Amino acid sequence: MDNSNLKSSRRKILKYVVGGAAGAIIIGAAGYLAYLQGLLPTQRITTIKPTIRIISFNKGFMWTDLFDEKDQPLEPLRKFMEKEGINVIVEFADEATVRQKVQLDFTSRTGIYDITLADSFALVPTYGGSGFLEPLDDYIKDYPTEYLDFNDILPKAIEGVTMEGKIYALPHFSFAATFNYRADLFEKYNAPVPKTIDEFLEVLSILKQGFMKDGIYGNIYPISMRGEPRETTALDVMAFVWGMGGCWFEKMSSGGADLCPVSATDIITNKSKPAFDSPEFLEGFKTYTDILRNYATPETPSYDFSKQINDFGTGKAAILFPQSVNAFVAQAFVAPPEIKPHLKFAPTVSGRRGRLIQQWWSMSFGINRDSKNKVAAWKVLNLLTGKATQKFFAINVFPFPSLKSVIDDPEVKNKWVEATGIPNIMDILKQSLETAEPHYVPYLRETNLIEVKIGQEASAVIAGQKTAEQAVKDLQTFVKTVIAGSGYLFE
Amino acid sequence: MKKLTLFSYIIIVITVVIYGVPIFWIIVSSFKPIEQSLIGYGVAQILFLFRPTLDAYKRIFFEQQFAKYVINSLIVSSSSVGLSIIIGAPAAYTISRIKDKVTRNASMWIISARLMPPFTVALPFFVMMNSLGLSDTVIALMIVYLTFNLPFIIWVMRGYFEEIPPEIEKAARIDGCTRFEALMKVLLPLSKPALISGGIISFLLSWNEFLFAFILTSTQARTVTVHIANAVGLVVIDWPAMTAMSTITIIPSLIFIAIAQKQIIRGLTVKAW
Amino acid sequence: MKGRPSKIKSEYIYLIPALIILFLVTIYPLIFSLYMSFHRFLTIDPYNRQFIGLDNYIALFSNPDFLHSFRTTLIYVFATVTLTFFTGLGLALLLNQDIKGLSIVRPIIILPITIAPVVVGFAWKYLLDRGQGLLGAFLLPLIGISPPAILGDPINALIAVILADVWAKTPIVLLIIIAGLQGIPQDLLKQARIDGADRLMRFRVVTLPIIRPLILVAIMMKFIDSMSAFDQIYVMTSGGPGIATMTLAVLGVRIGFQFYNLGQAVAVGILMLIMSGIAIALLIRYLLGER
Repeated sequence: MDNSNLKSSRRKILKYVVGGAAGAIIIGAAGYLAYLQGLLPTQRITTIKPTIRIISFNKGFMWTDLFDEKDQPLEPLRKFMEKEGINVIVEFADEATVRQKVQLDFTSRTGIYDITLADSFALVPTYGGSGFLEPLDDYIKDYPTEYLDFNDILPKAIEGVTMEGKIYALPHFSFAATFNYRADLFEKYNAPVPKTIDEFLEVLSILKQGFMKDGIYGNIYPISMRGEPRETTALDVMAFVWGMGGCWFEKMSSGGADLCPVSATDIITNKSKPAFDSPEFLEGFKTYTDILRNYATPETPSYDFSKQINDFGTGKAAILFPQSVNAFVAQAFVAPPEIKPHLKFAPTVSGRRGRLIQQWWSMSFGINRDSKNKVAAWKVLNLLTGKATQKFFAINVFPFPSLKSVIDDPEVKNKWVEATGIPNIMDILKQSLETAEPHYVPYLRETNLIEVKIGQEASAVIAGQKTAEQAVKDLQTFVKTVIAGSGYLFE
Repeated sequence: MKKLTLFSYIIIVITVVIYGVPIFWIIVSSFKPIEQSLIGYGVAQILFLFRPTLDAYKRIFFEQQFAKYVINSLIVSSSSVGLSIIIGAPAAYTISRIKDKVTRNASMWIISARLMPPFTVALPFFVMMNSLGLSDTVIALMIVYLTFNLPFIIWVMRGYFEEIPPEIEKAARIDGCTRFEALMKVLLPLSKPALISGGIISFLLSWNEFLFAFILTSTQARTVTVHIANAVGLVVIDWPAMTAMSTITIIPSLIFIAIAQKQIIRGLTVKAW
Repeated sequence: MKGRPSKIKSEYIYLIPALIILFLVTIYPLIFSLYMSFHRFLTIDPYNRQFIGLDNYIALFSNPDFLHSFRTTLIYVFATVTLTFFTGLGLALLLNQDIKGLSIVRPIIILPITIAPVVVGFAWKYLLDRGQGLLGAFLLPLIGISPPAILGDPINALIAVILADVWAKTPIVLLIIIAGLQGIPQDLLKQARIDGADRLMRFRVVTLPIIRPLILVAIMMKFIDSMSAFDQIYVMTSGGPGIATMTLAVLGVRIGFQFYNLGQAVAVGILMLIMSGIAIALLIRYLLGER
């Protein structure tokens, strides 16, 4: 009895020892693996200080001249880092991820990211209006860099990143509206290239009749536009709303001209009430939804940029409107050889009251107000939106720069004239940028909310879930709730 | 060797088609150039009439970061599952064998831990991990995944333990085992199917988890799932890269499951009582 | 099994690590979230975080979008849970047999678990497109399914989103139930067959009681998964058309991150928690009636 007890307890001890040793080895191995991966907290010390963290989308698209596929600095960036004594780290993710992480960073004031994405349409108003972005006017004055000449930036691009008279971001690439169409089909059905919104609507009707007569309506639709319930759709809806004379808030009474309030100051000065259910707003909104209900595929409420590009590029739509950049991608990259030469670009159409059906979007970047190294971040920002990198991007990705020197650059022009087969492509793109109105949506901190809601409502109307009249009423109610506490709700 | 009824046979064929076609399309997409990957001229063109290219795989592999993300995912998933089993099996044992108020409350507690919708706890976890200095570490993810995997493993194991008659343990205890040894030597081996299935499922669910992975990680501890979402660009969706990454994980999983299948099937022939 | 008091305490020790961990990582977020839900917590208005009591909840209940989401969630959760359960159970019974071809079939059907939900969502989004999708434009019309719009139509989109989820999650239920089926003593089945029970009766009397706890696990898992489902739905439809596929989870993320109202978003989460708690309590009582 005693013997077996002794044996079994000895065995037990042995088991524990072996078990413990195995456990220790496994933990040690894991630790070593972690060390190799640079995962241990102690390994975060960098040799050059200060470190500037950038967050953006997306890898392989932005700054491929500055970062390699492993997100490590390439020669131009390395030179910059040595010269300026700044360490630069970039984090790439997709747009939704970037947005949410930046928001969390701002909300908890952790100041993790020094430079963040702040696009002109949604985030400059939002982050600028909430006080998360560092106003850049002083830095422009006091810290000019060799990487970017501020006066080289297109005036409209500067407007796009300005809010209440302050500049909150620097633009990288920008796009506006163009009328993009299948020239061969227009010829076949005797449709003129429209210059006004009424001609535009008529062309749609001509094409639809022609397609139906030839029995191909359904395999091809007159137009392809977006209808997903997101802010991206609002980009297009607002082109029509603004272009047909609508505004978010009652027009400015002083100055006589047909001006929409574009800032909180404007609204307060003018005591402008929300005007989402005004006849002009409704007209523009309804034009958009009617076009899609009558002339586009019923799948439109699920249409994102990818489906739109694919349809236009592969012959399932005769018009893509209004994004110039999407049509460009379709023409330059997606369209097969039998379709490509027929895809053409023209200036956008005019709307009402002297306005154009137009839009504006800049991929711009700002500095976190809680950044611990703002001057260093400013310099990095200049590099990121500077001439060298914009030229590289314009040549290697697509030609939508925000700098005058780049858009006029002969190298850029040659590359794309050849790639698209359109001799005056750069002139068309340049004209679209110069005739745009970046503040076609007012810049408030609630701007993005309202844009998301506009996208949601437009999608519902296109899908037949409610009427346009009901949708704008719901929008009006929503906006009133949303801006209630901000001091510019007038009734 | 039984034969299948015609009915069963038809069902199985339909199921294979329903599962096979999309998966085949996903795998096939990884060999296409980006601009062609989401276009469709016809069934033939979509499925095989295209010029295959390994570009997507090159894009992924020459980014050595991908290997790093795979390692991160592996570390996080396997350790959280492992820990869940180590901590969970004894807990499941206690809950299944002792039925009193204490264990019933514990049971309720464990279940409710799983009920929090992820996005609700996103901000609190973010703040918590940041203040603990654990932002962008695999440790943060391991802890968070424990909260998902632990209840699940406990439930699965408990459900299985409850079906094993207590007489078997009693027999082992009479032979001189402590309760703990009874658990280790008798119950666990008997619960192999549950352990393996539960383990596999937990592992795969952790592997595919997205919300917390992207909230709590940045560049160092990023997992494969987060990286896959990165393929959605501004003007182009890199579908071939997304599918290539998925295909790369499909193949070892296939092997893994095939092997595990044998383990589970073996259970059929082991008569325990 | 009540022996000496000290014996009972020693078993409880096994519970302690689990409870401590879960306690720590659920109590803090829960309290934090509750606290947030009683405040006006707007990302874009950081200096105005005031206590507003139940206002967030009241705003939700007077928001037609929320009520619609509530209904959509009920439909979605009920449909996905029941469909995955029955499909999973049926397939598990079918595939649990020792027939040659099945060991090739089984991995194929289990594969979707290894694919990230984002990829699954995108796959179905583009597969079902009526213009260019393999299924939507070419294969489904062959079997007579060619509506004007699938993902562009409110009802069809909800159906599509439900089916995509069932497609992706049935393998999990399948695995859980197969694990349970493995543990069924063959002698019991043999005895039942000898006693003259047919297949259905064998299933009801022998199999079902034994796998009951695992069925409960599978259903509860799927329920929670369906309640909090986000990635796949959002990628497929963004909650649309309009708000047709906006479940509470999608609504919560939209309110929190696109309407920048974190206080209200967390309130949605708390409401979801309450819903889940009630539902699960009912499920347990119903499915484990005897206990």
